[in-house]
Amino acid sequence: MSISRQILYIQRKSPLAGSEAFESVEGILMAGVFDQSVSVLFMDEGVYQLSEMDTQSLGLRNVNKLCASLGLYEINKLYVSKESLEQRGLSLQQLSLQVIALPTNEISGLISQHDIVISS
Amino acid sequence: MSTLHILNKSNSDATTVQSCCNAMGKGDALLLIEDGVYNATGSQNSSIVEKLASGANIYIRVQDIKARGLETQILSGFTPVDDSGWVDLCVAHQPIVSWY
Amino acid sequence: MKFALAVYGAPYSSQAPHTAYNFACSVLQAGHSISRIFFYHAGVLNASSLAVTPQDELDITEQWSKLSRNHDVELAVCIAAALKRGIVNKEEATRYELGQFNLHPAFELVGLGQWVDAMISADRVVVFGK
Repeated sequence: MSISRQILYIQRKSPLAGSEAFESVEGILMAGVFDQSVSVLFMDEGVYQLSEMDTQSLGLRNVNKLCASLGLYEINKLYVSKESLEQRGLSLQQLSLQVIALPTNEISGLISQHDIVISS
Repeated sequence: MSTLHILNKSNSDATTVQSCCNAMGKGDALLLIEDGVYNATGSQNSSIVEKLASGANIYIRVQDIKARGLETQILSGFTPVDDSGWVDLCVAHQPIVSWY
Repeated sequence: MKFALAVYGAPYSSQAPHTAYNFACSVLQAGHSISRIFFYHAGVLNASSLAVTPQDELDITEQWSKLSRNHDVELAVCIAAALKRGIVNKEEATRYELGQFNLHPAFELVGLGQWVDAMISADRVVVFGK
């Protein structure tokens, strides 16, 4: 692929409110397949996508497991809103992936470094 | 080039409104569409109004204001745009972020 | 400029289809082009040919179809998101042994890669969330 874009995905939706969260992560992985420079920011209820889940009893797919494969597609620039974590009483150690905690005042800067921003 | 933010939720989804406001950098523009235009009325006590007071460029989609009968309730300082104005905003800004 | 648009909202659950349609018309009127409109998540329901719109409302599926015909804009529907929501074309109906299919002929079922391709080759990307 000759074109390379800086793409930021913002994941804001809770993991099981419809299949949007899961489908969005599928979209992120596809951008990885296309060798794009991909970053992901988890914020608001989207931070729960980084918590371990067991969705088997619901008969629904597990977005947290899908997030675990981001690294396989060399998608390693992962951020989480520090404020969103704190509001939910979560710490970085409780998350299933290694992510960088981003203070609120740095979010606009992160966005402006990208050509394309896809929020879900 | 600065960012264009697009918000389509009223302040009853305060988290989305607040996250959008928090993500605005200096010089960014914000366009309120759909239920987002309710934030431009005095009744919502929305953080959008503070954002406007702090000097941010905030646009409102006229079609959505008219559809909701809000013409007389919009606070001053917001800039009305039609869809061709929206297209111009997209040309003038990159990236474009939708908050919903 | 070249635009790529994504529609995430379904008709009658969200204003997104109508907003996106009006915006798309304005993009074309301004002399820009739209390489692809991608229907994702519940937005795939824009492509149903079996929705009967009340007479005093805009038939959004038909509007998309006209827009596509008149301006050569590709209406791409995410195949994975579509199949699980009951939007199916003839080939998929045969493959999954379904009795019916309902994808409007102006729309096409495509893989997610088509969206990434549209996104990275466009000058501007706009998402219409629900």
